[in-house]
Amino acid sequence: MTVAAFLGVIASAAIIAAIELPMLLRNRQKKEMVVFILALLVGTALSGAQALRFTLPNPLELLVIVYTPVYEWFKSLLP
Amino acid sequence: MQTIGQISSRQFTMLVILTTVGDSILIAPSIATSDAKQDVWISMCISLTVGLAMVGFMAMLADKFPRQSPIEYARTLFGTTLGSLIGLMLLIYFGYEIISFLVEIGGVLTTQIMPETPVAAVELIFMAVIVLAVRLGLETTARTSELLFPWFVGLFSFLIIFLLPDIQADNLLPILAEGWQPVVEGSVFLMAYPFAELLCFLVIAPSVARQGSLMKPLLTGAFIGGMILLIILLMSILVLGPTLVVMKIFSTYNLAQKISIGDFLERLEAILAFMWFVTIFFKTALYFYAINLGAAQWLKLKNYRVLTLPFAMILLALSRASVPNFIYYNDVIVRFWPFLDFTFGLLLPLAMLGMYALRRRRRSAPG
Repeated sequence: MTVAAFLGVIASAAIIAAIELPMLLRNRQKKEMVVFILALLVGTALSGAQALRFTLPNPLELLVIVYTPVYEWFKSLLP
Repeated sequence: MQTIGQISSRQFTMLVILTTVGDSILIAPSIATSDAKQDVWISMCISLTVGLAMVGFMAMLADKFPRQSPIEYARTLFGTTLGSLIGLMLLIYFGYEIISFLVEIGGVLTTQIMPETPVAAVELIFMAVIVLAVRLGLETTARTSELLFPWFVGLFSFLIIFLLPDIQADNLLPILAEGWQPVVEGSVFLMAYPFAELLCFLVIAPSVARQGSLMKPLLTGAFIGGMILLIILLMSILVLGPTLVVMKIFSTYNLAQKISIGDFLERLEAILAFMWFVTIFFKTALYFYAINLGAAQWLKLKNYRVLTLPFAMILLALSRASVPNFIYYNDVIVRFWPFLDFTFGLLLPLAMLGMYALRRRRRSAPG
């Protein structure tokens, strides 16, 4: 099941590359191509790790860390 | 810079209304009511007043830079380094918003409508529609809003009219039983979710074909959206009563389930689900524009469309990683999300306006 999901992620990454890359190659947009490939690699890595059931770092935890002091301060203001 | 098409200020107003109602119609009532109880409609009146002021600041900022997005004028205002950092933070904020919408649509569908479907499947399909909309351009999305807006209004009126027989006016009493504090606490959420999250319109603003100020369309849209939320909150309290609204995470959904006409017309909650899909679709689509277009501007790319598919992949993976369960998510949006919203929806526009005034004065000062 996880392997199938992982293969699905790889396949979708390939499809995405097939959709975008020909246009980028034709227009010789180097910077766009670099950004696109980097973003696609990050996306594939994250989705692939998700498909293989690795525990990814939780982005909401960052929010919790940043805003906990603010929240505590706000609570101390209330009677 | 690249264009994403032109939309009229009428379409802009409709998008603002739909975005103000956005996810708040389903998420906010329960959260705000848990503080303010039966006085939640007073909270909404407070939030509407303060919220319109916040939207006013955004409109002032949009009017100062009619041809640029906040990602671009952050650099003009704060210098290249600090401005780029602020732009990046703004993009991360847009990302957080999209993650939250994905989690919400997954949560609602799998708890209320399709309990056996995996959340990831729901989110994937929703994201696919968003990507399609964003790749087709803002004009297409704006025209879609024109198409769906009458339906939204019609179904909303339908819902309210058929709930009228179930009203129990006692539910509003006692008014202000515990003083103003819980009411004000409840209003914080109702300021943050609908109004502070209109920030994405600063990125859309340069594509509005306009004569003069954006103040009027933005304020009109936010006001009408706020009134819709006020009516929803009032009806929730009047029909369900505060206890039930607090108990159910998606209380508006249970509100729609209450409709029963002569034991014949039943289970009309699908109407509410449709309304909610419409509003959260536009909110997510606009935020997805904002993140793609903003990233393209931040990196000075010529085309934002190449970013849509990879970004969709990243955001989908992160939204799955964000939420071990919906209770955890609910806890985060109750305790921390309003601060996040105020940081970007209120403090950032104020800081930018202040910086603009400062630069203006320094330039006009002699020497």
